[in-house]
Amino acid sequence: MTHSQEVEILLVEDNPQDAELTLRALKQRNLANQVFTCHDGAEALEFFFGDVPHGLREIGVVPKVVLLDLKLPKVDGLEVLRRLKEDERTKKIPVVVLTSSREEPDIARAYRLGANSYIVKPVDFEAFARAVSDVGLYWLLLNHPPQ
Amino acid sequence: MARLSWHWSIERKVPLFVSAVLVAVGIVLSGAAYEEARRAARLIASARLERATAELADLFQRSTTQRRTETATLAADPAVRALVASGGRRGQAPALQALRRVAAENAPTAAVEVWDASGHRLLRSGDSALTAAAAPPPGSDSAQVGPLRLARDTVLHYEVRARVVDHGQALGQVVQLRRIAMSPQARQTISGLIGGDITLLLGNAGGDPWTDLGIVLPAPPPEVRAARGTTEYRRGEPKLGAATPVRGTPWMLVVEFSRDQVFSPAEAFLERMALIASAVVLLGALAAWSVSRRITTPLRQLSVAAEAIAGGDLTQRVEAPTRDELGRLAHSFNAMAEQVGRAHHDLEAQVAERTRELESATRQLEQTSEERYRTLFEQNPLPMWLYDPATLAFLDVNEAAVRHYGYSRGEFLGMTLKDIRPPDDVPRFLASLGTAPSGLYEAGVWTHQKKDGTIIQAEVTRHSLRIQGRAVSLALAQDVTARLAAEAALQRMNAELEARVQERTHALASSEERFRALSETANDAIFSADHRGVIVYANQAAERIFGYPATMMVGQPLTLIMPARLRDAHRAGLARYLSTGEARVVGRTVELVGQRRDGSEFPVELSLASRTTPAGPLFIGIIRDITERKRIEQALRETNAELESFSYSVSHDLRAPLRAIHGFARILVEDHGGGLDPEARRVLGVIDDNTKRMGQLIDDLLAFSRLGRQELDTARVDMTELVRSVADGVRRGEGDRTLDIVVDPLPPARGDRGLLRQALTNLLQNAAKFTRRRAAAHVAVGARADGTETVYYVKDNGAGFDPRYADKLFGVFQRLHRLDEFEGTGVGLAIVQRIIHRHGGRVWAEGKLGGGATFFFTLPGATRA
Repeated sequence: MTHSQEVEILLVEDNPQDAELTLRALKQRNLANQVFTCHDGAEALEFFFGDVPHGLREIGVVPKVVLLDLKLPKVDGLEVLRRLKEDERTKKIPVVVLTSSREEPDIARAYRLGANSYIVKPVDFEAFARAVSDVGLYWLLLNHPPQ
Repeated sequence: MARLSWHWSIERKVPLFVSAVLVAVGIVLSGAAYEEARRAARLIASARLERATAELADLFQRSTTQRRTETATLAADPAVRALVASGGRRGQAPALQALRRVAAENAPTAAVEVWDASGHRLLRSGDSALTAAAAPPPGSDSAQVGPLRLARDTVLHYEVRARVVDHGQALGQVVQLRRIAMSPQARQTISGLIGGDITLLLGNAGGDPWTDLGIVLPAPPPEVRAARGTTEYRRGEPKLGAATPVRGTPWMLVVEFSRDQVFSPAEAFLERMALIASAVVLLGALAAWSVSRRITTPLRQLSVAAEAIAGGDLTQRVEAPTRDELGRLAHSFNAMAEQVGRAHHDLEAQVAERTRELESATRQLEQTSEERYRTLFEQNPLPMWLYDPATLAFLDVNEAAVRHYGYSRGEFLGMTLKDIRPPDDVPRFLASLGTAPSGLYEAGVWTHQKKDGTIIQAEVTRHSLRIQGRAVSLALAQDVTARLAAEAALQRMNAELEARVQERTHALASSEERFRALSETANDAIFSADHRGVIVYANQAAERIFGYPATMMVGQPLTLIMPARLRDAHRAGLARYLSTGEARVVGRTVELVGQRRDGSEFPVELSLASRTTPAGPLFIGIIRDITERKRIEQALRETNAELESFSYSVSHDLRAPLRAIHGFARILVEDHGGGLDPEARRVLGVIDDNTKRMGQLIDDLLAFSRLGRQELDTARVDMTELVRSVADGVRRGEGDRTLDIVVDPLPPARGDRGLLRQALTNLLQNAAKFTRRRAAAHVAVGARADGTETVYYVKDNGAGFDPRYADKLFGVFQRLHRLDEFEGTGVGLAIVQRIIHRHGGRVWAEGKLGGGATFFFTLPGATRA
């Protein structure tokens, strides 16, 4: 995984279509080749803390932003968020929560756990692509994480 | 006036007091001096006694020591020893010679005897009247003196014994018997030694016999024998004595004075003292009497003079012979008497003057009194007349009588009392005269007739009196005709009023019955409580709901039916309402917790009203058991929560495939658009539109469902400002189109500002949408009063609707127009209705197809338009 050192966005998304649409939106801003995708919460935790070939601990690479869906198989998004924000090594990584609706009561909980912002995934693809790529750009280019 | 009693006069009191003081001082001084003299006499006597006893004891001791030596010498005589050793058989002659020698040498020696060890007398010489008692020899070689003994009741003697020893063994004893006898010469010697006033007594320390060396005496009292030093005791007469034992003998010596003799100098001293004291007292009393007399004589003169002045003799004066205080007092008294005399004289002159004035005033008063009486009679506003009680003829009448009755004075004087009465009333009048009392009395109301024939009712007061010796009667008549008529009218009115009160009471009672009937059939508990919060009424439903019979609740405080934890708040609220009128519950409906008789609690809804009564506020509370309602509400909340979570998952799960459809359709157009024919692109466009619409539907549905559970944040809302702000936003959303929205000033309302903004936005957007086809679109927002409520409305001149379907307007997904005419999801008006309903208001619409539409809504709590 030579390119894993270039991972800047970690996308945690179980729905392959949503993942594909997200990647497409990022690609339009030329951000897609720095994206690594996890398909459930367990995989995301493995990425950060697990004893796997591309584990964070081994490679020492920290993504600049995590796009995290809340509804995930195995370990849900809120649990992943909690673990990330509890750990000294990962608590500074910005986490953008992806939700299906702004009605979601989990948004409030996600904020309490330390989520940095959220994106409602609209049905309208253009709107969706705009939101995803805006937030990706913001966190990658405009926001300087605390050193 | 009582004279000062001589017994308590100063003249006697002063000498008495001085004498008493002198007597007391004399007694105390004499007593103290006498005691001191006695003490000194006793000390002197005591010293003499003790010295005498010591000397005499010494004398007796020396004498007895001599006897003991004699006896011991005799016992050691070889002749005596030989006699004893031989058992009396040999050597009698020489032994007897030795015995006789001893007896002869000493006159008081009565006899000498020799005894063997076994108690046999071996030999004796001397007076045969005295014999020794059988006794063992002394244990030692020295001779022993025995106690005084009495032989034949008169001969006082004693024994001296010494043992006879041969070769260290006691073989027997020698006993010398000696009389106690004192020659007159010896007694004189002793007397000279110790003084003639002293008596010497000698005897056994253990008791009788005793002797004064002349005769045998009984032993002195034991206390003197036991004491050391001087003691007082009685032996016939009071004695002062001292005792001491005689060493080497069992004897005791007592020397005594006659006590009286010792104290006689002290007695003599006392007598002299008493004499001197008496003389001093007598002299003192005489001097005091003389001084007091010198003072009191002028005082008595003053006293007598003062009494005379008090008795009226103002000429009394006293002499002032000296120039001391008494002289000055007499001068002052005389001056005072002078002044009193003068003042008295002036006063009498004044009294005489005043008496003369009074007499003249009285005469004047008598004259004016007569005039005043005439005035009182003549000018009295009430008719008065004087008449002869015998003939009933008028003697005099006043001006008022002339005026009131119409007869002239002359006519009256020719008439009798009968002439001013109607003829048929005369017999009653004549009958009443016989019973008329004397003096002033109310004669009652009479019917009188005036000269013109008018009948009046007159209340008459009569007074019988004598004028110049003649019996006359004075009568005063008051016309009460009008007053009696007024009284009768008042009675009639009272009766009417009474009847009306009864009628009203009856009406109230039936209203009370209606209230009872209503309250007893009510399903809710109804309580009345007085200002103390004590229940005064409870209906049947209250009994059923709370489990107490009404009789148990009436008289109890309202706290009976509430849980303990709420009682303090209730009491505080009641006190606050009574003192400040601040009502937190009164006039409202609140939800509280009630407590049944069995202690169980349940939710209630309380509507409380208060009425003011003369006894203070009366509270009327209607309490509804809302257990069931609460249960349903809870079930509803649970259902709502389920629905909510259901709608979330619907939202999430429906939107994901929609997003995929829409997204991939877009990808198809973007990536492969060039290879598609126009029809394929149109179909993709339809897919695109429908997925967006589906997304919108889901969002609207969620917004709608959110309304049902969102808490209202109620506050005062400025409706004019709110509507204008919404109108601006809607107008901007319509772009270049001409949209005329007129907003009238609107009364403020109470409600959730955010929700009301949503409702108004939906209504105005609705109006904007349906007027889009009008060249001149007009929307008007206003309000009007309708009864007690305010009706807000939004009126447009748009497409309108078929009134037959008016009730469907507010249903979810209900649309009255085709989608290609007007877009929309059919949720906007449903949201409006839900918001207004949540505020407790109503919403409805009027319109006709093509003729515009008007939407109305009300909000409780809105200020009246």
